[in-house]
Amino acid sequence: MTKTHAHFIRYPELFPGRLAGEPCGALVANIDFSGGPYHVHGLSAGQRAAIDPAFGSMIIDSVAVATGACVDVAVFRSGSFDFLPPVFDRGVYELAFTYETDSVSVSGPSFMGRIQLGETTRAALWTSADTAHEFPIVFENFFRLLVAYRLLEGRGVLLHSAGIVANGEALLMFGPSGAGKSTVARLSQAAGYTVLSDDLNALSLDSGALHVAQVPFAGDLGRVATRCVRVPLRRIFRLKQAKVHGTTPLGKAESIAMLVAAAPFVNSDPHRADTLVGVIADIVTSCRVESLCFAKDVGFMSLISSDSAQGERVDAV
Amino acid sequence: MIELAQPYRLSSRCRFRVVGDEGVVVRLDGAEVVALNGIGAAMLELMRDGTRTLGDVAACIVERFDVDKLVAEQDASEFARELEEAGIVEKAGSP
Repeated sequence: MTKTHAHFIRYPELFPGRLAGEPCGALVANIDFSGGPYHVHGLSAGQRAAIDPAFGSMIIDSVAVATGACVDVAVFRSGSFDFLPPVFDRGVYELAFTYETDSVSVSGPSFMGRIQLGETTRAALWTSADTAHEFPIVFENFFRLLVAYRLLEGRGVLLHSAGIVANGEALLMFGPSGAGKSTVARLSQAAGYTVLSDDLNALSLDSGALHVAQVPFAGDLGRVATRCVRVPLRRIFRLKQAKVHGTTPLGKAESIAMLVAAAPFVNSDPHRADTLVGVIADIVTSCRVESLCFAKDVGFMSLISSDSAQGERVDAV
Repeated sequence: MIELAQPYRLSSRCRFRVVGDEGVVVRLDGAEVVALNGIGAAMLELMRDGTRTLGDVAACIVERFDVDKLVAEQDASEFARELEEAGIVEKAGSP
């Protein structure tokens, strides 16, 4: 069942209409990330400390706030009474959204947020300052949504995928839940390849070329806490488990349909549907998409990266 | 069989984009994307604005893809029925 704000907020009719409120504190975190940087302010001491484990090495001293390239993220205080106790349906974790032409509002366990889209993207997060222990989850939930929208504005996309580096280039492997993203990531990691993420990767257009960036979100292979790594994109594969390894080309339309399904958050937003399809159409025009049938051994990497050296390392930029 | 004199148009709840010689339909309500092959994309492009009957669509397909007229008419009817059931097209003139 699709969640509504009433699942998370005691008074959904009072959802803030403007990016305004009382800051939780006076601390700041500037996060250097694909599509950003992000200037997060209004943090309490507890909140600021709580985001360090996941974002620590992405936090930079200052950002060029005046350029407009920076995303302003205000953290505002809300009473813990404003939020309803979270209810998980069969372990499925969902957020509630309201999509408008120039904004998207979101609510989830212990938070509500709004992203104002336009020439200068701005965002606000309302949460309780008294529950800093919840803040890493709250911030991650909000930040991944923000990243998805910010990337789309820059003609990029956040993709449910496994990102593996071979010979200094990224191979993105996507598919529905159970397709084998974590399996290929584990097999590749065991064979010495660098795994960017086995869950979410940021695909962005930097200087006219597609790059894959590691995201600071949890996947089955655990959290990463590294300075934003960007690797040129080489190829994209749609995963399918099989008895033998093999690849077959996918048509453009089929590739677009499948990749749209793998682009979380923005693929449910009717106001951004045209943009998303256009961005993904550009991506499949410049990068080949193939179906990868793989058996449960790392032999598939030889098939798709025959000129790649095993044990490839990628250093942070 | 659907009446060949009937025009169809793209639903206002869908977006359609031609990609190369194929097509992509986005259903806004379900966040679902449907891929169309070359003939499917050409047929939907012809139906899109609701100004052509299925007979007109079939005639264009005969010209463009060098297929038999009867086959094109049957394909256009079947395709329109499938798209209508999927909520992708609606009868032109309907509210």
